[in-house]
Amino acid sequence: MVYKDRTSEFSSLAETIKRKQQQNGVTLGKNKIIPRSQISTFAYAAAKISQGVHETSEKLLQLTNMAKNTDLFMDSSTQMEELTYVIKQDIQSLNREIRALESISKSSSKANKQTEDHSDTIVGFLNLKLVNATKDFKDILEVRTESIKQQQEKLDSFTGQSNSFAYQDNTGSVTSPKEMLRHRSNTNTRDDPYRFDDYNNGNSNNYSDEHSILMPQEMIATNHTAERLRAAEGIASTIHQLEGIFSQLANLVASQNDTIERIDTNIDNSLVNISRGHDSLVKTLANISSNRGLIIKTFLVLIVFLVIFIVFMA
Amino acid sequence: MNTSSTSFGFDFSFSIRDKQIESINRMLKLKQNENDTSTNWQEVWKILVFDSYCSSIIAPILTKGALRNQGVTLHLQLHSDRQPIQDVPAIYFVLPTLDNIKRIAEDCKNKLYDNIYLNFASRLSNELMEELVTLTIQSDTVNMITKLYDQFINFISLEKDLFVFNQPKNSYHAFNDPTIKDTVAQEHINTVVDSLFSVLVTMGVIPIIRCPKNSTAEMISLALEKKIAQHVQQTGSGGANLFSSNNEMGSQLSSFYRPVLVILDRNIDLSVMLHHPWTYQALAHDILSMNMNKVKVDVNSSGQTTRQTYDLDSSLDTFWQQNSGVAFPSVAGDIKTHINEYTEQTNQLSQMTSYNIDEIDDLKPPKEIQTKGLGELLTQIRAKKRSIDLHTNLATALMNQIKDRQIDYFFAMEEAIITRSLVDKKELASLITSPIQGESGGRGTLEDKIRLLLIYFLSSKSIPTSEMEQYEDSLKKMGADLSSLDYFKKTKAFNDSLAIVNSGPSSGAGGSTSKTTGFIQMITAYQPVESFTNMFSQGVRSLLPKSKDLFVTRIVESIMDLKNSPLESDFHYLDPKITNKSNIPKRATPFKEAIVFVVGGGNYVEYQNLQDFSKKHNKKIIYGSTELLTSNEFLQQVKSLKEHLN
Repeated sequence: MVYKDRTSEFSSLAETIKRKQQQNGVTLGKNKIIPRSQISTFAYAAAKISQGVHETSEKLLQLTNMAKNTDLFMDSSTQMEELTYVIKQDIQSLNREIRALESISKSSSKANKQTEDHSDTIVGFLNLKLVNATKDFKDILEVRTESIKQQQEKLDSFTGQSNSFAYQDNTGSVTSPKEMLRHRSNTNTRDDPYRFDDYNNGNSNNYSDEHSILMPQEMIATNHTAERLRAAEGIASTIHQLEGIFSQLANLVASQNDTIERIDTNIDNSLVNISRGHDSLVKTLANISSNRGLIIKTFLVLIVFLVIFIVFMA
Repeated sequence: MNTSSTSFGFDFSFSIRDKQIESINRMLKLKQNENDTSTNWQEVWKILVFDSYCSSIIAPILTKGALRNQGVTLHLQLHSDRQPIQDVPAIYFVLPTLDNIKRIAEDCKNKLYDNIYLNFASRLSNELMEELVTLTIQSDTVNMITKLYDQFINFISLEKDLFVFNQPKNSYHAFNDPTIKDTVAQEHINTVVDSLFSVLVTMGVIPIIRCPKNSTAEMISLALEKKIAQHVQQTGSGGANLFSSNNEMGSQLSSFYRPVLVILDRNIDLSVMLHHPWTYQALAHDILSMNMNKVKVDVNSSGQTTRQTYDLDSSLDTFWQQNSGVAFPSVAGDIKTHINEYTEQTNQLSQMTSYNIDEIDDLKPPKEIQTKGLGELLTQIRAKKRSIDLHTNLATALMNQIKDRQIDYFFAMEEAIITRSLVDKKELASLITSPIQGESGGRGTLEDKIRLLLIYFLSSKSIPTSEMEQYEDSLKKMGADLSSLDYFKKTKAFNDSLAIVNSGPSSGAGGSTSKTTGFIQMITAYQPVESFTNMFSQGVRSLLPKSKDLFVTRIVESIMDLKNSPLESDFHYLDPKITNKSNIPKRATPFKEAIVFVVGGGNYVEYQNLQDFSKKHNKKIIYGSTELLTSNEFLQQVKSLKEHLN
């Protein structure tokens, strides 16, 4: 307990003083309760998005737990697919909402600069949250592909060599989305939107190539592997869609890079400016005072001459 | 023991910085009751408004990013032009002063924010609260103030075991000026007592107080004891006072593990304020005037000199954390190993990338693992690069100054004088009487010479008048202002009495300061550390300071280990918990923890000396002072004192 709440002390003091003043005949305007100003659409939307991001991250947690479960006989793939789908939808809609929020903050006539800063920071912060959530999502998908692979291996060891051919291709197809994931995680940490885009283009080409190869495989494979393949495919396409969101967000996150700055940096700068202003003021003062000296001297000389004139000429 | 289970109660981390961060974070959460986690995520955005003192409290411990994570979107100065912002609560974090109160009332009147949470850095007096109430009633805006808290955090913690108050300004002057008005002096004392009280509240401990008799420290200690005792009495022993922690276990333990608070006066040891430092952090402070963990360095890159500001935060910068207390030459060595590591990593990186290009078509598993590591490696390398840049620039700047001013020679000479080992009179004379830096054969700046002379004067029992005059004359010829020397001459009588005590234990310590070997040892301790960009081959000796305890450290040791040595014979023993002053039971077991506070300015040399001691003896010591002074700032204050005397 290292603080002391003195709110009650404050309000009771306020009551006593008010009463005293009323007794003394000072009539105060009726103590109107300040009407709670209507919460602006912006604040409301921001709170809603923040809530949404929170809910999504909870769902993500659920998904992580599922994905880690590699038990062959406790397969929850349909649940996971559903959840993945829901989260994907969530992230997309949240992304849309943030864009909307941004346009609200930009379009609404700004009262002043500080309000603008305030809403900018909120938008930036929400963006950052969403990026992190998206990154988590992507990591989970990665874990998921891993577990699919492991399950496949287990299955193979049970069923013998029957699927060996399909398995080989399967691993190939599984690695390809993972490759893309890795690239993305690298580029993401670099916060470099441009390079990021390059990677994306390259990768999506790769992806479509692989995709076309995949199609015939599906027909050869047994029922189960086909299912697996579809799962992997689904994940790949989800990842692909996430890319779009990423590239949109990457730009905004870059602007949030000042997190390690200290709060007194601006103060320092203003101090320098103040001292500079002071210096020039001093200089001006010196200028003026030297002028004043000159004027006084001139007048003195004039007066002396005047006196001489009056005394000797008159 | 139960460090992890008690997040807000008493725990065993004896770190003032962590505790302060905890307090501030709680303040920013708006919900002071940590049990209330109902609408946890429904984050409320908020605005932080602070005055300049409170911004200096936050600046060294929380960055903008940390504030943002707490939901703070904007941070604004109280006394600046602020514009109304809708739909957002504002947290005010200010000192309780009349100026601030008036400004807050004005904000209410202008209805800048929806609701206001007031946090005062120390106790808001009843008069000021009344003033605030009256002003807000006039504008009919009492309702805008949602909450009002007294926080007890009006001190600045720079390290986990270092704090300063930075008020009153020019503290050595403030506490030693004989012409000062009584009311002003009392005000200064109150400020310090207030802040010390906050430190103790934040740490959650009621210590035993030790202080020397007949000094400013004594007045502060007595006032502090009274304040704590009053507080404990008012709230009653059973009630929740500020010191009691939230869980039973903690409060029992905290009454068992009581630290000692040693309050000392600067005059007890002045020479340490003038000593040239030789450790990394202390050099950065003394030479580059590091302030509030920030240092400005002139960086010379491709012919252009730019001024860079670096933030040195020991909780983020591991290199700084490891090396701040290390002698400068070995720091240079460490930087070199860091650079080696860095080049190794970059090589590794280039290998990896080349590998990637060669085998990009083969989708083999090993390649994946390497690409995965790439991202992490890159961030690592980037962080390392930033750290290396910072420390290389900082070390180079220090290096240049050391070379130009021959600080290594000054350091060695002063060390020899203070430890009373052999003093090479010829060298001393040369250092003092040679021309100043920049001229041919110049050694050191004028300040360096004055500092050396003062240390010589303060540490020696008797100096032949002719010798003294010779030095004074030559310094005066160079245009030195020796008013500080005059001041010390006047207070010398006081210091003499100390010097006798001072010499006792140090000669008793025996081997470490054996007379003839001391200086020679230091010269032969010259170890050409594998030089970092050949710095040390260019004539700066790599001296290693001998392990020696400063006067303050010896006092603290004696108090903590209950040695009852003559050093602390005339010290008060105050226990705020005990009301019966006639019979105070003395503690029988040695103290494990101590808070050392020096009234009238301290410096990093003393801080590091105490830390070295505490590490060696497995104790915990927090060092604090009214302000951290460089030697030049200290001399300035002494000079202005002299002017006041005349």
